Amino acid sequence: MSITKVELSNIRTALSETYGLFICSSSFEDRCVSIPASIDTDKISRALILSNVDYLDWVRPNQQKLVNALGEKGYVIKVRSSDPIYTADNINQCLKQARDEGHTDSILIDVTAFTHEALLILIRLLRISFSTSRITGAYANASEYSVGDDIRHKWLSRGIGEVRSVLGYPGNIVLSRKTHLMLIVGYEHERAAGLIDSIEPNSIALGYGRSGSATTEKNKDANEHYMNLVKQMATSFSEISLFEIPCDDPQGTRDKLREQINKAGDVNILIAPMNNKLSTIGAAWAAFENRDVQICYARALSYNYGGYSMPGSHCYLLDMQWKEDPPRSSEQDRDRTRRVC
Amino acid sequence: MTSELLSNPFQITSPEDLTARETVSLFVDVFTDFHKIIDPGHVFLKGPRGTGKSMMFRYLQPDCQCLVKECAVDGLPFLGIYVPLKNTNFALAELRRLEHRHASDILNEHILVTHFCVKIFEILARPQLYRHPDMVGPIVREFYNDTFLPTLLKETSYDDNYKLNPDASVIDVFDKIKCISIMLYDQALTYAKKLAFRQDLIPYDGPLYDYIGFLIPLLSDLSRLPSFPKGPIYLLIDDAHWLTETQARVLNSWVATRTSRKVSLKISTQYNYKTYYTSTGATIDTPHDYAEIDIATIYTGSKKSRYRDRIAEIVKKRLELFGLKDITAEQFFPEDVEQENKIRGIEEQYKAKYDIGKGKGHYRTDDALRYARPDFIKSLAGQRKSSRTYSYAGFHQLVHLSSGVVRHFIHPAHLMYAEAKSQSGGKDVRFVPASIQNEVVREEAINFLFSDLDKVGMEGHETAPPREDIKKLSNLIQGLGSIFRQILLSERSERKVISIAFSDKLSDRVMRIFYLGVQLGYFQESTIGRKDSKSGGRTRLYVLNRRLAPIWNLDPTGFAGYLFVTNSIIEEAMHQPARLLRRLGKDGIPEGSRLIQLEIF
Repeated sequence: MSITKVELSNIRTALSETYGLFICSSSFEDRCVSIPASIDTDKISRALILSNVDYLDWVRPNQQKLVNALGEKGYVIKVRSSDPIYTADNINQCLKQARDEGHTDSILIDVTAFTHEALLILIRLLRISFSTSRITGAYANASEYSVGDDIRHKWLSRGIGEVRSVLGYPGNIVLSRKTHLMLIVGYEHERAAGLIDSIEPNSIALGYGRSGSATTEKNKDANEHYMNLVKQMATSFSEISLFEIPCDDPQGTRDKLREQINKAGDVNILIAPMNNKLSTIGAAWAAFENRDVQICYARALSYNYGGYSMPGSHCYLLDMQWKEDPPRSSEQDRDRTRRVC
Repeated sequence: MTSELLSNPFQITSPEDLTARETVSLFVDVFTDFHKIIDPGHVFLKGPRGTGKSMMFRYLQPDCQCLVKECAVDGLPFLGIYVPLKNTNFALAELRRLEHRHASDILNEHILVTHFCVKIFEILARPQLYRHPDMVGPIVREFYNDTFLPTLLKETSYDDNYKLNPDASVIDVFDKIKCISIMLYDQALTYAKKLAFRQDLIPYDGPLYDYIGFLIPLLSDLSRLPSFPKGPIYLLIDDAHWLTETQARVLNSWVATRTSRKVSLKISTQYNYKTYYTSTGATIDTPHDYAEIDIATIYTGSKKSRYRDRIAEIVKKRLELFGLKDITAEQFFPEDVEQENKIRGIEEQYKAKYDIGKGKGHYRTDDALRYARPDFIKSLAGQRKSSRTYSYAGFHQLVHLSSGVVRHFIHPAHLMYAEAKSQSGGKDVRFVPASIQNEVVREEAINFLFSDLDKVGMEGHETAPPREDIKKLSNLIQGLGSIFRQILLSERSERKVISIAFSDKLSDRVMRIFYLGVQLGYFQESTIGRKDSKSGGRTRLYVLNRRLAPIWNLDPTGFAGYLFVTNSIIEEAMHQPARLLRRLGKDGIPEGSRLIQLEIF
């Protein structure tokens, strides 16, 4: 998986080929329009715009901008943060329709404004059914998160709702093993602490963005600050392992998670990606490689709708070619159970 | 000692990670307050996080009970088996695919039954349970061949893996049952995982076991075996709020079977247990089907003093385990001496007034207890350039501030110890200075209200409260806090108020906001007699969580009155708190409300 950073103003040059399908998500963040407004829509045959009906009041203005930008090629897919099955079925149906219409040989995904959960589900679906498609990811950076707030008061979301595994990433949770939670921490330190509080794992490891790898333009070293806040909040853990991830490199994130997974030993591993979408792609990749790993998600109860982010001037383009692993056989599952016993 | 307890005596450690000896050392017996837990019968033990539910269950497990009763497992009056439900497999997104389909209840029951079997036989496979493991071996081999295997084979065909070694020990036998249960559990989960992205339901070809046909016969036969307790088996089911609605319905169906003489279900949950309906659509009811215990209600009601004693014992035990012997909770969390001396001075003045016939209370100490502390707080408010504010230091105040939740004492204590240690220059910490206690509880109060709620406008899923409701709750809390502060500063005779009761009917809107406040822990709910009504009856009482008291410099200690209000006053507090506060009379209470004094406790 290669990744390149380009100025948004140069994205047309960087994306010189044509795409049968473009997928993006509407959001209350203005950043969701950064890439769709910058690309050459003549090079796209069909566009799918995810619309989170749970936040419709907040996403509607930007959704309309996306519809306007993509014109008749745009097709809105309803998704719900509260219902991953609804989300998966609607995305799946639209993907199949696009395939039937011959639009899926090459796919461009603007991952910027997806929820972590919707992005993970989409990646899983693509990996299952579109392993031969040429897939390019695009991610528009933010110049700043929690706009205007000083570093001590920055916030992106508050409160957590239900904690669940992400559809398609169930892992293999062995009842007799202890639980090890690997959290990739971003600005959402309260949400992260809430997740730890809710799952009450036996041990935790906190991954935070490596200095200099931030995709934001301001407060580049905020990740470490928020990781420290999570650490302070997790008072019931006397020892917390820490690890760095490169926020601008999914493959690097995958490698770091792989190291942590190998170090963790004989435990159930849960990964909660809560940093940017590039690192979430890295987490998905790590879970694809190790199917015992579960990815979990804590839905936020509220977002900083008014000042979540300020669009930046760059974007990251990544080649998302993955080969689907052969499905695990029943015999492999039985072997695993025997090993456990 | 666990490594966690080595660094801080107030480290919050999962009871699951404590050894039997540590558990017995740390546990403070609470079963005088919760006797239904140790008596046969199904019980729902409700309470917020951190009230000690899991610790109770840990203590009831056979390894701890054998230590306590100094006997082997066959000498115990019951066999307590811990079944944790905090397992992300129960929250597996794939299982939602089955929701509202015919197979959902059946497959979920199978998953629950096999999960329970894994946990039950995992515990029974611990060698330290048996006084003479060699003698138990033949008995459990017989149990395996005559009970387990025939029950298993009702739903599945024989597999060579099921064959038991003729010399198998008790540990081997129970380990084998555990492994078979894991296989059955995995088989069902593997099926569920295949459903992730399929809208059509693929057939399930594995066996399906249920509670009545599988688990109960196994447990019944198990309890008849020599070397096992003759009493009932208690399944200590922890964190049932983790279950999905379907799984909760299945568990409720088990409660409804009334098998409690043989197998009693002791179910702990937070307040957000999904449903009390069964799989057949009936409800389970107390006291017919189960008994219900709400820990928060018990410890904020008439048993407050027991709560204080219990915390004192917890502190003492934790300090002892940490190597700090002969230090009491009061010594470790000392009062602000200067402040308390001044308050005692005011108390003496009230007693002197009583002695010359100018007292208001029945007893000599009544007025001193009732007015001295509020007078002191008021005196601080009167000093424009007061160099100090009220100090919340001292064990008794910290207990009151924890509002009946053990963890709300332990967590700040942990922070206080850490701060005291960092300021100690490497020396042992034998007490926490008053200034540190005060700083920590004040910061915790602000975090509780402002970080956890004020900026939260909950929205985003079908069950989340609307943002408007959060705003109303925030207004209500801040409005009430300000009213209570005004009452404290007033010239009234009853000035320690942190509760409200209703003199008329609550509107649905007000009920909804208070329900939300109770769910989020900002209020505790109870009822009181309607002292203002000739017809008697009871009305709802809401107590502001004392953790919030430092925000308004309120007195968190006992002996409080409650404010009788009308529904319209609360509506106003929710919508226009500033207007309501402007209308407060000199006595600090809104028009149309009145203060009732509570009994001393």
